[in-house]
Amino acid sequence: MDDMRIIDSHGHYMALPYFKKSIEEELIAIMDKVKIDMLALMPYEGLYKDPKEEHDKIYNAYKKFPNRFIPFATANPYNGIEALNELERAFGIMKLKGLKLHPIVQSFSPCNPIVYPFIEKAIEYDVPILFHTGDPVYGMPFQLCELAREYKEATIIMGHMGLGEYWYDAIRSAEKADNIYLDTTGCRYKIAIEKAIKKIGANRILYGSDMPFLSVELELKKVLSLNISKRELELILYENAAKIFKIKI
Amino acid sequence: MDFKNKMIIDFNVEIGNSIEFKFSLEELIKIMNENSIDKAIVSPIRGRYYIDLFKEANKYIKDSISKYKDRLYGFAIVNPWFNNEATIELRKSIKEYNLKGLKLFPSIQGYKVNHEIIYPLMEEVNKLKIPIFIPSGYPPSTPLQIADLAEVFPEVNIIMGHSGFTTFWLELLPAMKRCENLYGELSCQTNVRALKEVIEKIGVERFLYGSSLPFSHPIIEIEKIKLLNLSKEEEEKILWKNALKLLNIKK
Repeated sequence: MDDMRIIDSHGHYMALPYFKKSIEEELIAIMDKVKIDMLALMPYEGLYKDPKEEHDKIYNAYKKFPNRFIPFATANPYNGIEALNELERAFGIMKLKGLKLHPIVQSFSPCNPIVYPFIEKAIEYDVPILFHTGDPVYGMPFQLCELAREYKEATIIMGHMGLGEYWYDAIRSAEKADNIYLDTTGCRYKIAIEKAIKKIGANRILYGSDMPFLSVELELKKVLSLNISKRELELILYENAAKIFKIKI
Repeated sequence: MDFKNKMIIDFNVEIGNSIEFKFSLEELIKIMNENSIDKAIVSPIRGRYYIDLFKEANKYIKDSISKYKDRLYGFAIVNPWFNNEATIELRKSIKEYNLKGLKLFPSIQGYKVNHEIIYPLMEEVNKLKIPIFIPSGYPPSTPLQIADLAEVFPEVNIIMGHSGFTTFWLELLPAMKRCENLYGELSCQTNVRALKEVIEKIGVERFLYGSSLPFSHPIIEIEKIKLLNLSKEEEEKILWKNALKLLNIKK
């Protein structure tokens, strides 16, 4: 374990009440404590507000710590061209490396065509798209599966792999669409994750924590306690993420 | 694990074989020994045990706990759709098999947790003075749906397994504030910050440690108790004292 590198593919630019320093410094302190090398840093307030300001903050955090953060942007599909222009700035100028969409907070179904131009923008810049899944109405895995089958060139991360109840649908979705990656964040059944690895292999499973919203200690402990080989663990903790985020190994 | 010298009772373990899942009694005892878990409350693993094989399930639990008398307590299963047959089986499980409570599983058994079909069974539970364990989380048994049942039977102590599971932590506080007869078993509730807030607001007395073996594991669930950052006294209540009180067992 000590020699293993870790990329956490699901984190948020979010302040907790106890934070004293900047969000990025506090996050790095947590990462150092649990020995995480890099964190995918996604908007938090930007999911329900205009994300411009948070994109700037995430970009600055990334500039300060380029070896620790993988910066993400977001967009609310209902804001149409304005949101697309902001994504153009985020991917084209700031070179952010992923798109986070939260169908529950942002109130759209992943298989609603309203989201298509945003998927096309992510494909244009070759960045992965992480969707929250696991809650009705808009967070059902098969809705995202439909989108993934529509856009086979898109790299889709199914955040939380269906969360508590819909892990079975998440595994089925990943079996149908090989551009779907499952992230372990918040999925509570260790045997569900083991089942996913058996069904689709370890190459499309990503370790994630949702920190600091959820507890990284718990999420990491869960993945480390899986009954899997060392090789599978390396893939899940580091290599799969390094591949889709284009981190040099 | 630095909880080694503490007494620990695991309130939520499922054992047995079903089409989908397998977890043997021997595997359980091994994990309990490895993780310094003193006692566990066992019920049958999810599957047909909850549907038509509940009589078989209760015998299996009775036989299992008799092999490890100092380590295990059992909860009974009945399916409310079997009406009077279910009530009679419950009485037998408690009086003859010495099981300590009733477990229902609405999503497997096919009803909404607050539906009237379980009222006759609830009346029997009340007469027997036993607690009832219901996994909580997604519909048809969200914490507020369980609270609706708890309001109809204020004398029955109802344990919400998983304390709302993942997303439904957001109903935990309103449900527990509304009904003092609601308890939360902590396994598989992801949101430690939310749990901490609920515990601060309503106290530790109504929370219980559980592992959800084989679905989760003591390594993960004990870590969560540590992350709650409680006082020693509070930890002891969650780890075992509240459980014994609820089961009406004297140490």
